[in-house]
Amino acid sequence: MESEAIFMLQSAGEALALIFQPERMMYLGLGALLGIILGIIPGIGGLTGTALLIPFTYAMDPFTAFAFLLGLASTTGTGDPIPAVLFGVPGGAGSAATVLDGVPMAKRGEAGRALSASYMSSLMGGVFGALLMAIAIPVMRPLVLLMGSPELFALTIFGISMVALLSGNAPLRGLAAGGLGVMLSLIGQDPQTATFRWTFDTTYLWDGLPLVAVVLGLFALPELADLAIARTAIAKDAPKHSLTKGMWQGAADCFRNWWLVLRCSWLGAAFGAVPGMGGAVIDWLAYGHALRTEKGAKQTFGRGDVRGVIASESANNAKEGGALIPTVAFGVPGSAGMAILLGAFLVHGLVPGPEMLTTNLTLTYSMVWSIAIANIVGAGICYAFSGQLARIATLRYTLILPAVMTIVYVGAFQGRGDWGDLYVLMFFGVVGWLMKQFKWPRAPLILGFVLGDSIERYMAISISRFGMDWLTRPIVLCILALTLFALLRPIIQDFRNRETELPFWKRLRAPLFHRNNLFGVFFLLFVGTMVAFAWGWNWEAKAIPVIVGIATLLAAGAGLLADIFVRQPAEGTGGNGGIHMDLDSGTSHLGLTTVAKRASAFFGWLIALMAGMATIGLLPSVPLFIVAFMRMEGREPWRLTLLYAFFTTLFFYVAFDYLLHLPWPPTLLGGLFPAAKIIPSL
Amino acid sequence: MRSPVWRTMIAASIAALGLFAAPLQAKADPVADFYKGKTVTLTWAGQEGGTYATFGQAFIRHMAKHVPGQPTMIMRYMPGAGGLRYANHAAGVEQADGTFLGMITTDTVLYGFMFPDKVSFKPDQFQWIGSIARVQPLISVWHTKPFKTIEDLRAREAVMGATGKGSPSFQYLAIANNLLGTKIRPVLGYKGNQDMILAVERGEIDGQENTWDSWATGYPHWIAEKKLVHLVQFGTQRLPALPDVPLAIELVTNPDDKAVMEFHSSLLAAGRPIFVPSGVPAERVEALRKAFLATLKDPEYLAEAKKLSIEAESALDGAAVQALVLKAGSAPASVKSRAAQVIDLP
Repeated sequence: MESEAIFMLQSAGEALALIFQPERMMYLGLGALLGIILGIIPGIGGLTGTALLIPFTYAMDPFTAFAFLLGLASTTGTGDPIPAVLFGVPGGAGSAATVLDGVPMAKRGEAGRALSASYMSSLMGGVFGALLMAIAIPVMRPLVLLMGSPELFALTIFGISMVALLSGNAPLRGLAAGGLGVMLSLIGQDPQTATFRWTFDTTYLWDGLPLVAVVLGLFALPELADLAIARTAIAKDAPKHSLTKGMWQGAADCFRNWWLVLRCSWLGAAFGAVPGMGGAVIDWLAYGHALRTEKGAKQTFGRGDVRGVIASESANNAKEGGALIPTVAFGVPGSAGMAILLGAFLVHGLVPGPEMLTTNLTLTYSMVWSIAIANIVGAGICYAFSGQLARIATLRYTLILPAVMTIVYVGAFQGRGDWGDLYVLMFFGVVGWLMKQFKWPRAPLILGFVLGDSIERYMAISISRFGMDWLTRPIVLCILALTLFALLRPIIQDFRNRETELPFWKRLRAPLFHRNNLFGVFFLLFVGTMVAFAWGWNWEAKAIPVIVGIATLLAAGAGLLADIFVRQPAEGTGGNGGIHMDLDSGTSHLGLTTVAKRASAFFGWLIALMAGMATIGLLPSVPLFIVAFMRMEGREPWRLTLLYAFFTTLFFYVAFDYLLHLPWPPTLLGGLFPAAKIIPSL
Repeated sequence: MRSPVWRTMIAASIAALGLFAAPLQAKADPVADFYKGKTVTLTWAGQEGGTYATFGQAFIRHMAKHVPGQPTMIMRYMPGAGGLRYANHAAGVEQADGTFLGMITTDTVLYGFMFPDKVSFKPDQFQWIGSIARVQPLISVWHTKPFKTIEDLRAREAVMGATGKGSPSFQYLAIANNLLGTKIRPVLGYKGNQDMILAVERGEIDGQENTWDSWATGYPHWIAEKKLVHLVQFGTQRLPALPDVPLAIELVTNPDDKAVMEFHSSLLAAGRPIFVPSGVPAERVEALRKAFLATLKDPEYLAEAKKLSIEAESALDGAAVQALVLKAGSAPASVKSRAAQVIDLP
């Protein structure tokens, strides 16, 4: 035992010395820089980036190669919150929760503080996560082997129970949104029967909806739409906050909340280490955890509480450290980026497995240290180069929207490299915007979407393998008990504090219809149609979709009835969770007609952009779109417009065509004149 | 001191070189001219990572040297619908000028033959450049489980994992149950091969289908420590490393069943095939096939193949792959429809 500890310490020390050699540090830094750039661009993350770098690592020794690759993989999470805070556009699926508090802070003029808090919490999260893994290495293999399918099933149930928490004061709408999320996650070929569920005879939907396009649609487009509707800067009439002061304040926030950072990073690392959980859920778990445990969080989260940003970002960066462990110890990638890393293992003649924790322990430790150091370097780069980014929030909307809108489109296109991605983006953009307008919380939908497929899979495996015995496993029982406790505690607390509020049957009133009810009706129709489609499938394929569908209909129906027949208590006076758990659209002062008109104009621009992509290809459409948008929406000067269009297009060409070699979708013009295909993306 | 004689001689040699070079240039290879300075992509119809992506990447790294004009060769990925999405794309959209190469699984090829109405590509119209290596699927169990031979699988139920009903991980189990009389109970729903292997290690399932090179690259320690018992192999020849494990085709006696098993096994010998769409000019196809063969003899490639456990000696040239694909496609309709039945697709 003692000799083992000494061996561990020796390996850890040796690894540290090896990593600190100048050449390796240089590659690590280069990787970190690339990671941040890729992190900032929505839709492109560790996956694409790492795949791109692998050919360059052939000639390196394994220590350098993995320092380089992990430098990139572990810092994309540091770049992710930048667009999330500034535009409400999550830079990756793992930063969706950051939007909820980051955007209100930017609107208040505190973008600098929010950015600084996210850099610092990314740094601390990444380091804490890596340290936890460094200590846990000897026990990781037995621990991971304990997590069978029933345990994973229990964990997914625990995850989905967060829906209750993330629904805020709209529990029924939250449940309905979560249910819809689960149903949407089941689109595609059913593993049990090979039934094509809601694929409508397209091969595109065989593998379900792509996460990136859904997240960007739900969170990014609504934010951009509201910016176009409000026609202001993001931080409109906000008091001038000093940038430097904001930067200091954001970092100080992280130190003041160090205990929260530590908890969330361990949560992120632990969940990252469970193979099969998926990274997109971790930020929400941490956010939910903070919401549940932090003092006063239920009144302030979702309205620009820096702790919301800290919770989600520290967990988001800690998860790579966790995800490394199942990758090296079992060859089971803990995240998408890690799957590519497995390829790099082969290239360097390494075999994931027990050897990595014995004979190759030094290399494993060098990877852990690479992740920790990359996080420090990454945050440093962000502080050095992107501190000034906060000023973007004060720019007028005609300068922000053209570039961000087109990048969101190309980012969504990363999902599958297919036209379908753009339709999915557009569809969820409209749905997300309507949800935001009518105060339906969007977080439960994304949580249901991220976990739904796993719930069904692990349930099927658990029952088919163990019958009902899966319920007798001790870890399963512990997790389920924890879930129950987490669900019941706030209800009991609410019950105790409920003196000020009358029960709903005492608040019944004559029916009062509001145009907001229309969305509820639309929702019922949509889910009802999905259930009707599912009705004809065979039993195994339809069990979960139909059960969840009916529950969703009941929740949405009850919510609609409550809206019509029950007087609502004023916000913040207790009730279920207190506040609306999502962003406010901030456009209500404009009146319905203006909002509707400008929203149609916004989505019209998007349709025009898509039409351009279909006829002349994505790259040629970008400058045309930018010029048209800037001239027609904002009457920006020609010189500025043309420069803007030129540099954005150049960036698109270099990043997406030259470096990433995106397979562009077929275009009308390209079909008619194949010779014109010499123009990229045509 | 430079004498004028030297100068004249140098000038004369340059002129002579020019004289020689001129006709050479006139005869210059149009294929080399075409590929010079171009970027050639190899698209794998699946995810990054994994054996196909890694083997493909290693192969093109060396193949680029042997293509006339030495183009840059890069890897691209287009996963979706179990490989069908890219196959459809290659047949319908991809530019057929020889700068776009593709790699699909032989399951995708067979799918195209079994369900021609569900796809928009015709496998026999692709022009095959070669196969990097064979693929040999195995049904294997963990060493502590009570199954030592195929007879044990026929005698009692074994619980085996699979990702989904439409996937190869399930189809080989179904073929075994339908044609070899085994009693495998598939547990479906695992997210990927690696998740399944982990489930095998922790005893949740008895075993699974996986290919030999996937075990060899990812789990050599299990092979060395005999942690796995391989019960049956699919293919046309027993692997040199597994001389005692029966081939599925040897276990079938009924001629109808044998024809179906042959259909499912025939292409595995060309397991990692590279193709270009129909319409690519013949001289470029020829050049690519030659480059493919030259790569197979390239000692640098062979060294790397060894490191990655690529069975380079099992590679096939383009003509051989083409012949196998055509043969599979010409199987009688009754065999194809039965072949579709035994993999239990709707």
